Amino acid sequence: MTTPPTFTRLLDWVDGRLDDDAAEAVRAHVESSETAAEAVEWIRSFREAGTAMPLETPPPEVRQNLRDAFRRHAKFPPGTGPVSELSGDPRPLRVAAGARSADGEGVGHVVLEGSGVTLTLSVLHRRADLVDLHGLLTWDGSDPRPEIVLSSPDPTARRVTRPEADGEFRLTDVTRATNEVWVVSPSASLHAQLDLGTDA
Amino acid sequence: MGEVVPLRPAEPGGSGRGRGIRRALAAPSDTELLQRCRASDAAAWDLLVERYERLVFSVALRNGLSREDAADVTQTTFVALIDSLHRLEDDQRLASWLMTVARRQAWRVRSTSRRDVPLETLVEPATEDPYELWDTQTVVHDALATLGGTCRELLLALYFDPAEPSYADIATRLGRSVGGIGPLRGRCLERLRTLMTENLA
Repeated sequence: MTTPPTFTRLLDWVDGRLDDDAAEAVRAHVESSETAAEAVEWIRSFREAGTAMPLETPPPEVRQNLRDAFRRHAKFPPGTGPVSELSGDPRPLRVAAGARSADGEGVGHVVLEGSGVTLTLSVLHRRADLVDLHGLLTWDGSDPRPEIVLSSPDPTARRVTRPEADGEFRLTDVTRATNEVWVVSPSASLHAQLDLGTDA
Repeated sequence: MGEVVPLRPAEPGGSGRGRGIRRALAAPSDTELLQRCRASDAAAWDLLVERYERLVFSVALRNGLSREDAADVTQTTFVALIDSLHRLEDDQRLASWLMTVARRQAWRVRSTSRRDVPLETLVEPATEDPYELWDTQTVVHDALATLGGTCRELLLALYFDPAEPSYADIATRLGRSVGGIGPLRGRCLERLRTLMTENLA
């Protein structure tokens, strides 16, 4: 071979798409050229990345649920939407999407009304930075069960759960920084802001 | 799992042909789609989901989740993106942002599941990161996002699709001749290598 193989030719060789004579010529060049050897090593590493994590397709309802979730979100300007707050305030208070109360024993409650769904949360104020949540979700009972997402400014602290068949769920060690709750399902939706308060 | 082999950068100043390819095969970039999402453009959101749902789902799978749990993590990760649309620090690294959130969500699901497992069944050693090629993957997918368009779709189809579609299938999907797929993949991959060098520079 009088001219160095192109990058595509090197790729053809790595991919096994050359006949024996052509492959031998490329192999000989790669052995004698550091530049070609580096290109071949890079190509092999790229191929290995694909082999290590092939891209599997999720169930089709995932895409539909996400389409629906965004469209619900898009109805409201940034930072707005149905809002409710939860704190240790013992006075019953009705707000746009729910009501809050506290029982005086370190437990706060909130009831949130969404579209086709009601979410009742009881918050146990156990520690300065973490709380436990007991909840009851009522919806039309259809499958899949709605997904409950609790989010905070730190996306890695997000908590997700689905209720049991009777609608109950429990989450422990939830960060007090949690400031938003979503309920996502094909038949129900809820989006509300939360304030889990401070250690009373 | 094999040894970690980091992708080495190419020499700076690579082929200029890739720039022409990129222009010719332009599609909405992640940055453009995110800007449209911030303006409540649902069609842009659908494109973003279509573009990244397989990546997020696969990250969850590769971190030890069942398909059902991985589907949940996929939804949660995208809901996190909705929540963070106005707070993203670097729109050009959306791929690695999604991958990181999905991986941490997967860890949380796994750790929560283990709380419910009898102690005697937990015989496997604690492993914080079961995925050794993580850094390489995030770099590759950010670069593929920058590459964009037909080049990205072609390279994903050739090297990341578990169905291993034929050149003929890919040509049909992309609306191109079968004979053009081989050379195009070489030019696209060479451009990707150059992009990764630029990103590391």
